[in-house]
Amino acid sequence: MLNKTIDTILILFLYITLLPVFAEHDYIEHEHASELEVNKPVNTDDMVVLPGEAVIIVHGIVCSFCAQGITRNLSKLPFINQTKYINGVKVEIEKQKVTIAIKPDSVLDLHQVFKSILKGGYEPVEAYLSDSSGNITVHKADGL
Amino acid sequence: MKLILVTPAEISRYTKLMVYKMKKLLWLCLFFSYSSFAHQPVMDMAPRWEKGYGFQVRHEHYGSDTLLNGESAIENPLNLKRHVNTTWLEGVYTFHRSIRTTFKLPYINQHRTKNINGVGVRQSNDGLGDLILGMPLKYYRNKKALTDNFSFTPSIRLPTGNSSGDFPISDGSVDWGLSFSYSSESPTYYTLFDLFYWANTDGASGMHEGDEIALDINLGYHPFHSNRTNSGVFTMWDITARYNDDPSNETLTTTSGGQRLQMGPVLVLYKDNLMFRAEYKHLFYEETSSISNSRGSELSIGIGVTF
Repeated sequence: MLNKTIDTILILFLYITLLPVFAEHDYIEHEHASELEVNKPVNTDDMVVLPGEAVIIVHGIVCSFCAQGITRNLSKLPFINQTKYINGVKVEIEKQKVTIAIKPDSVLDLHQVFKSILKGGYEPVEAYLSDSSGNITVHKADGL
Repeated sequence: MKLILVTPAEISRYTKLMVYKMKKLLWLCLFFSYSSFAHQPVMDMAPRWEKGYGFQVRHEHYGSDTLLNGESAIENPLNLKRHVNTTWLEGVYTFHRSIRTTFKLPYINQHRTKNINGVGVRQSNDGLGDLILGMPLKYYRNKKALTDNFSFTPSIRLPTGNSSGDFPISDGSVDWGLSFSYSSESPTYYTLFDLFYWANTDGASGMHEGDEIALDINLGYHPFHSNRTNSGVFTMWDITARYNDDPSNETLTTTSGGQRLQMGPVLVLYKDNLMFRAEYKHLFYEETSSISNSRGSELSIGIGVTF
């Protein structure tokens, strides 16, 4: 009886744990580039970036309770405008998007932003910024 | 050079020995916990950020007035019973998302009515239980709308509980545990599979609680979340299958080994860094190795906070 129980548990466990490894996922793997690509204009019809803000795509960010480290780390950065959103940060788990509000007349350091997200336990992919004429540029988070 | 001839019978014997030793090793590797590292927002999901930490206070009750002999409920003219209330103080510190350390310290209040020479005798005890230290090691994969991780958690249970009296809190032994789990999460769904093992060593006065192996499965659904208020609701269905080895005759903390299957709903409410959790585990199947009280269904509620 004991051996049967163990065998059943083990087979069930192996089946359950190995299944996702071999399953095909419909997500897109992030391809790392070697360095930040800056000021590259992109066609972003579905991306809204307000002036004074940056939108960062973060892979794996699916639970806000688990992503508090990101909010905490980002809100400590000197150029974050803490008067907007929750301490200057908005997390949208449905879209894997993090929006940060930037203080007027301050310099945004994207490298620090990406590092803060990484230390929060997640993978930053890219950031979207809007320039003065409304063009959106994408900045890859690679080489971290 | 010396040539050693091995007969087929010897190969068969060595193979059987190896299988036996591997099974033993597996048992040792798997048996770890009276209290598993099952999915819990404070202890498992968060904090995953560097230098993050969290605490959780959780109260649980199990126990029953039903007397079992194997799978069958039998007459209980002496009204034998056992009820255990445990309040857990649990903490976690994250060095890096892949390396954490945890502690679990229980305060136990328990009572039972035991058959001693044909007379039902009430026994009770309360006090701090055994301290459990663990080190979850996690391998994360962050995908677009999915995060998953494989987790390997060695643990040790230290005999900080009192092992004296007729119904001691602890058996006074240092025990070893190991858990291997996989969990994945999307904005809507959550799953966790956790296989764990506790290897109980000899304790005080010849007591030896039986080893334990179990599989926990959590299937979760995330019906509501507000980005504006950073609050939401999480529901889960928890399935637990456990097998307990028989304790030694001298053991006073427990009376019987056996196996059981429990299932039930879990509700989690969270707001910012605070969360509330309530869980009910219904006993669907139980078999004891000797006449013993059923463990019964379990109820657990707790609150946690992360920093």
